[in-house]
Amino acid sequence: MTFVNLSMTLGGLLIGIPIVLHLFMRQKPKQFIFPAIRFVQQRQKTNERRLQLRHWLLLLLRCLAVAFAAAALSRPHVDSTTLGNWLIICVLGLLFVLVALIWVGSILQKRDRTMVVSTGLVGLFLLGGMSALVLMTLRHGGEVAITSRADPIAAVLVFDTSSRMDYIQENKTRLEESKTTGSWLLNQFPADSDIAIIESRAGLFEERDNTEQSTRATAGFVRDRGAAEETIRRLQTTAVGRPMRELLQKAAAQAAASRCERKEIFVFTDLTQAAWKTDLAELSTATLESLEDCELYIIDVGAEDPQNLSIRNLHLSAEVLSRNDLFTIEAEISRLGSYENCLVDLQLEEANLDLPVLQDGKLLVPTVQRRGREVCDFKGSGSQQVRFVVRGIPHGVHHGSVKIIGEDGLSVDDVRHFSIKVQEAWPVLVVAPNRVNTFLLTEALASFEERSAEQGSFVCEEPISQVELVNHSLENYSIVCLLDPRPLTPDDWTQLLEYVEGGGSLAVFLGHNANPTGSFNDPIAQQLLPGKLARQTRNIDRSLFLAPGRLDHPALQSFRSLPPASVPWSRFPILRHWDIDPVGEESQVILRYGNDKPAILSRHVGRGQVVLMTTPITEVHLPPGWRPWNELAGENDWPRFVLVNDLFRFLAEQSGQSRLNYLAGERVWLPNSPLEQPIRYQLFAPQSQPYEVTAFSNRLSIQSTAVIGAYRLKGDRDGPVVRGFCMNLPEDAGDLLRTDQKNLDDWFGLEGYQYVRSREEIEFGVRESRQGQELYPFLIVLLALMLGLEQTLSNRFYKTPAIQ
Amino acid sequence: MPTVEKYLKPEVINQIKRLDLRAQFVVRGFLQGLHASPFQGFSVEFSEHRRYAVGDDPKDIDWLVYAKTDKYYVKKFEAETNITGYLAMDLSQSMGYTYRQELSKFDYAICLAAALCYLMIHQQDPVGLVTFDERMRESISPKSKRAQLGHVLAHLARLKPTGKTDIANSLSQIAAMLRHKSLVMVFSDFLVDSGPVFQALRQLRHGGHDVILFHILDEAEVTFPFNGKVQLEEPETEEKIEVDANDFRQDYVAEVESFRDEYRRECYQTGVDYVELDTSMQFDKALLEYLLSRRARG
Repeated sequence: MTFVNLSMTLGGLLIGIPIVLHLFMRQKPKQFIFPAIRFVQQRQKTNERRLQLRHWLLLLLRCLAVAFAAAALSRPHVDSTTLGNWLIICVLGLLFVLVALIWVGSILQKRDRTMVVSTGLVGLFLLGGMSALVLMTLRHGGEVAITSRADPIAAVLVFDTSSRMDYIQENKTRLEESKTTGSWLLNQFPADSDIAIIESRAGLFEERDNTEQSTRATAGFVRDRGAAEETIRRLQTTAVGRPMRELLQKAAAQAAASRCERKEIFVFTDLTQAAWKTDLAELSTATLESLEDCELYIIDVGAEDPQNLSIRNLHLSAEVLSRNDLFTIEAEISRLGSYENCLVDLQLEEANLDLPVLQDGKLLVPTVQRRGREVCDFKGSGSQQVRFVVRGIPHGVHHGSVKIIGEDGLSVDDVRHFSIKVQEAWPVLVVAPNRVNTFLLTEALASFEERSAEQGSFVCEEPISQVELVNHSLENYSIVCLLDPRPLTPDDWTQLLEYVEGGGSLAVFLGHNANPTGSFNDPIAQQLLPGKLARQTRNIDRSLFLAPGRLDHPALQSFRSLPPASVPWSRFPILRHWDIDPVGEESQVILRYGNDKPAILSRHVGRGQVVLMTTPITEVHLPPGWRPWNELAGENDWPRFVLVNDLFRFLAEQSGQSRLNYLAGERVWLPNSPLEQPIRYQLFAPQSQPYEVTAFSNRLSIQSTAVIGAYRLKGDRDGPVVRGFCMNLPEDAGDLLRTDQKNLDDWFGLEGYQYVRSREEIEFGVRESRQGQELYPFLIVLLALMLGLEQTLSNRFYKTPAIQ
Repeated sequence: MPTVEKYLKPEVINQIKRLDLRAQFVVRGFLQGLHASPFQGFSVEFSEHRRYAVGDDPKDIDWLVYAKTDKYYVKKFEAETNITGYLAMDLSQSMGYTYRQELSKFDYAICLAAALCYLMIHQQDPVGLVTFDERMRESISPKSKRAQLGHVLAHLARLKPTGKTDIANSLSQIAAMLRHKSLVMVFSDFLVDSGPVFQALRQLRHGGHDVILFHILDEAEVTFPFNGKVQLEEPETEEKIEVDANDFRQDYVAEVESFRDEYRRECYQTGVDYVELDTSMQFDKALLEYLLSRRARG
């Protein structure tokens, strides 16, 4: 039981006033001469008894009225679950008073003994039952049976500050709405309450947990409302939002660290599916137990009918491409609401080695050009695909964006940034033993026409023989390709390993010459290859083909856009191939045969990539009598052509600096060759002053990537060097679809949380849970009942009968 | 009130200090009121006409009747039979009580007795006076002369209610005193034990006397108009009782009514006329009761 004004219970001492008045301030009777006193004598004793009974009854009612008034003013509250008990106690109390009056009346009026005894027994029974129920209810109410409402509480305010909270409704973002309500809520807490503010900005928790601030995190309560209000005021949305599960875990741990009896967690959220993911069902038992000890309020500040356009699934044909490549960019435009169409622009910066530069405090960046515009007509569907194709992008790093023209509720998801690097054609070194056909490979990578016009994506120099490898420098090649290699010497393997670890890419197409396999299974070779060569598998009946299953590997990018049935793999039988057994743990199977054995495998080695194909790619039927391992290079062999180009493009993109597009918050690793690139750079991050970053161990590490947009690196090594990358929001950052409240019921239980939308609901919910059910109305009713009864009985007892 | 009927009201008659005038006004007011009463036609001045006979006073001839019938009739307005009346006045101290009325019970009784005396003398009935408290104190022999009126009234005017009372004993003494059948009119509040009183009344009736009990109570003694907590003191015994008047009123009124019922029942059985009066009532009720009794005996 809690009291709003505990001190007002002392008002119950005023019960003494009517008692004192009754005992010591009796009315002095008026004296009259009255001869007919004999008529008075007859009934005087009965009258006197009745009068006493009435006086005692009125005294009791007045005492009860004072007691109820004092109790009502002290505003008692009980746990809602015990309200029924308290009402039963009230009823029993009233019955007891009634029976007690009857008992007293029976004694005064000298009724028969049965009446006195029976009413006395009933009264004792009622008193006993009432006392037992009071004790039981107080025990049920908790260790501290009676507290004051003013007792401090531990309040943890959890703010979802993800980008979705920038959604504008009624000229206020959802975060502003949360902040307003949060600031108001602070003033509702009792004095000296422990207050903690938790937001979904990523990185704060790790820092605190890993440093001395972890102590502050567990003891991170403040009692200064001003400080808490200032913290709320400074809240900003972040592109790196923590999942709600982590926030709740943190809030539960924070609340559990408080010594306050009452703990309350207020979660300000837009209640979207993106925020309340299904992983909440996996909340730890400890968290759920902690939450059970707290009052959890889910404060919904989200828009019930959001109107929004967003860009999702941005797909670049390549992040690093050669100058002659076509650059294709695709994106999905998703709508929520009543939009029928919209305009989407592709914007691309011009390459400029002199920029960016900070001039007079203003950041100058390369000029942005619109390189395409598409009209997105939804035609009743929820999303539409847009596609842009750009050709002839000059050499250098380019930042660009796909942008929805116009305004909607949430602007942050109306733009997607991207960065690409355009360089000269990829240099490829083909290494093959004598008499191995290299022509089919080099022609597939760069045809004669392309080479003549210098328009190919790859540049294949004259192939070298395997024996020349050890004396050949590999630094200038993006890809080294071993075609049907013979066993290599350890020096060859060492050279290749250093090359791959340094960022190069290696393609190995095994065939006839890989015998004996000992060289390929050497420890040094196994540091490079995706697995051990075991045996050869033969297929005489020409029933074995390449059988692509999942096409999600980037090395099969082109096949993804083709209908699976349109690729005639069955026309190109595989007659023999090497078995890789076992496959290395770090390896990945890109493509399998129909017998489920690996056909193409890949492996990351250092900063480079290795691709191994277990059957030749350039087998021909010549000379006569030659037993080819496959017929991939047959007539109309376009699948082989596509496969080779995809594999080499994948390897090229993996070589050196390749990944330029990240999600906000990800740590960025950029390779940095000290021989070719500067060690120090100026980093021009969005919404931030430029600062210097230095490469260590041949790479740049950048952690502060919470802001979306283009990040520009500018260094100097024999002239300006400009690099860059960009950060984007997660795909679901603009997903404003609301989650079903039933999910909350499943996660927290029906009684485990309170869903509120308005301040009134918060007030009501908090009042109900913090103070329990207020007894004030019941006490006022009882007070009115007592006063009315007292008034009625007084009038009845002291009324002046009409004199006849 | 334009007529003398207003003198039936005690508060009005109280303004007349001379008792003879009071009696005169009361009776005249009463008689005037009778003409409009249900007893219209009942004459107290004459009971009948009879044929003129030699020796009758010629002035009594009713010339109107002669004009109609051409015969001589005289108005018989004097009682054929004379009733000897005794006015028995209770002198107990309690009779001097009034709470808020103009007249005390004693004043009311005196006034009523005077009016009855006036009426009886006017009808040439002999009337006497007996006063009593614990025993019979004084008596005036009944006479029908007009001088008797002044004599009785003068005596009444001198009476004061003092001391205690013993009505039963007094009535027994009166019964023993009376030698002829008489009409005994007792004016008292009868605030004594009723048993001996009834015994005495039966004794009076046994002696062949007619009795009218004028039970006079103060208006406060009937209605118990007090409020709140009161302490009541009996004037004769000085006994005090504390009661809550509001709560007690109903019981009190019931008790008074019960007391009166007892008298009413006993009087009926004994053949005694019982007239309940309180000091707020007009005098005509008492007078009318007398006349009804007079008529029954006539």
